[in-house]
Amino acid sequence: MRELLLCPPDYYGIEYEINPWMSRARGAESELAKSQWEGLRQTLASLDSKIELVPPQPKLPDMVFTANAGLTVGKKFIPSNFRYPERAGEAPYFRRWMEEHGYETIWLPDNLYFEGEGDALFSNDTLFCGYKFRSDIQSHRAVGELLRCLVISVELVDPRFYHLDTCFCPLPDGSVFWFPNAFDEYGQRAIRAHVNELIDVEEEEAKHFSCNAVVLGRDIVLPEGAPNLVKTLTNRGYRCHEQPMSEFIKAGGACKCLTMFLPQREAV
Amino acid sequence: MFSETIELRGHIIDSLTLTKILDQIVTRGASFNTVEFRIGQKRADQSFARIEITAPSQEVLDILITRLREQGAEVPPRK
Repeated sequence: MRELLLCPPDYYGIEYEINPWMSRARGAESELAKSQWEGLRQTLASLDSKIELVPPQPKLPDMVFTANAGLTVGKKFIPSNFRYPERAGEAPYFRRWMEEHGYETIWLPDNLYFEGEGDALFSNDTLFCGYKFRSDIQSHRAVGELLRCLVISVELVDPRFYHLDTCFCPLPDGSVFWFPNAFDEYGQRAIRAHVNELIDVEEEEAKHFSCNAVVLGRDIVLPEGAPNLVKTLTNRGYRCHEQPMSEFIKAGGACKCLTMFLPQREAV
Repeated sequence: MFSETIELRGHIIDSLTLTKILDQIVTRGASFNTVEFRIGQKRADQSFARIEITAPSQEVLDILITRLREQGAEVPPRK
């Protein structure tokens, strides 16, 4: 059974603009967001997982996106160093929760931006890390030294897909579904060289954050709006659980951004 | 000619970071000389490269260095 960390959306809202999806003028509907989050929580809880909740904090609307709390391997927790000051206030609350639950915090140097599981995803024993919009490539080197694993650093080039987990989703069979144009040419080549099989997601479906999915064995929890991807995954034997995520996509996040694995990997 | 030395560390071969950096140097009309290169022996081992870049103008060199820093290149302090 996988443990997952979520944060209730009590204080969620579009209060600043730090990615192309966010618009304070448009905003998010609070009650609908709470309903969508509750639907996600219930869906995840109905699968083979245990849900943990970190208490939300006022004036930290994006704390709901727990994937950006950090990266957890075994009982080691590498907290994020957020690029934007709007999110930096989340870090002490995530660290406190993790330490209270028995995790050892290992800090990266202050001058290296790193946004946790949002930009760091394992496929088999390889850690794929995205950089440019949020995380620095130098942080990948530090994470690789800490975890003693192969890190493939890939440059993100489309600001709509500003975190790796918005355009890249590893599956337990070693394959990955991804939106290739979110990466530069070298990143695409590096990924192709290190992934057994790649499933391309078309742009129209990628824009619905369909790569921002939580994979629990053969179950995949993903935003609605990607019928072709769902068909492909279903034909490969996966069970897809489509979720309405409109209010969170307005902030540039969806199912995966709202979820952090505890841990993402037991060991490397 | 104008020159600067950069250092690269990490999984720069598997990630194609080294290839990308060398391509950018050449594409922008500069040239390079590999001063030192150590390849990681095991899967998790990181590699290291020290590269001297020579550009036709200070402006080209500055633009190049700025871009290469974004790719993880570090400029060591001059001795």
